[in-house]
Amino acid sequence: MSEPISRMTMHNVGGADGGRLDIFLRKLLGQCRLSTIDQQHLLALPFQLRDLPAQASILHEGDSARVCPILLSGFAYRYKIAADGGRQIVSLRIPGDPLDFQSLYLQTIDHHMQALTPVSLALVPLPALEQLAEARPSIARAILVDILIEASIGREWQLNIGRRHALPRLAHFLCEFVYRMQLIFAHSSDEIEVPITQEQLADILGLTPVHVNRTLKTIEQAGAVVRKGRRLYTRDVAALAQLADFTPLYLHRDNAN
Amino acid sequence: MPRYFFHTSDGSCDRDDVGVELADPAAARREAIRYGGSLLHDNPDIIAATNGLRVEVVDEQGQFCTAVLIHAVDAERGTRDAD
Repeated sequence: MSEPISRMTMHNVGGADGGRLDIFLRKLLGQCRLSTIDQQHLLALPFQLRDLPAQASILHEGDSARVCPILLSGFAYRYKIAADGGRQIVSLRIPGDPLDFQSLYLQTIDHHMQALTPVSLALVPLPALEQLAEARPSIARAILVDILIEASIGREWQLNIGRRHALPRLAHFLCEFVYRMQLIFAHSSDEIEVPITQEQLADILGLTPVHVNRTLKTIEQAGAVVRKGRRLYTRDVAALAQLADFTPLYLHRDNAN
Repeated sequence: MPRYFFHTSDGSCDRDDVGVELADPAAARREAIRYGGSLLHDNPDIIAATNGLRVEVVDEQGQFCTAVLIHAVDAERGTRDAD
């Protein structure tokens, strides 16, 4: 396995590369308002493109980051490991998501991050992002809002894992996944592939893989998801929302209005 | 790693058709106990039915490995019907 991105030093950083950061800007605009000039500054950030295979290490606990990776395509997750090797996935990152805003303000990375699928990353040097945030308060605010919303999702996950039963727990996670995907890709189809194995769902939900399998079967019988071979697709978001008693308030989608 | 299947019955039967890869029968046994535990955690009434809960581990060849059985025994058997 190659070195985590958080150990990387950047030498030749190119300038803006026609529209690659569009999805990142769209993600931020879904969370707060930004002026045209702010948007231009964000799109002009220097970055280096990096494609990584599934399971590649992106952030490593204890490292001090020099770049902020932005997920242009693919999926990644934050995780922590207990002494006995038990792994808890604490956050799922989808296309458009910045992966390490917190290293702008904190010295040391406090968790691991891995690619869930093959990913394309834009690696933005932290000093460039820092200068932009210092020069433009509204961009600093957009960064803060992103950190706050991820924290809000984290609180919802705590409730999910700590207090919800397996069925609403899994349904809630899937419902959140669809809401986030629909927002970033601006489409309204209920059918979205969930690129996550049952073992990984178990690590997200704090359930055993067998329990995840049984619960998926129940949700499939309710018509809310469909499995095709080993692939999982959401099918009926309203049904998922009902099973999970889902309210999207914690995603703060009204914040961009 | 070999694959193990975890079938449950609690009045009705739930056949596991996907299974999980685990190191050995001892790991499968632990997984069965943990799985039974999480089913109980979710729904204690799962063993209110007359048959209790049974988690059965079967290997890839269909050979029986372990069964975990959970039953509740009430002191006064007639009470529930009398309510």
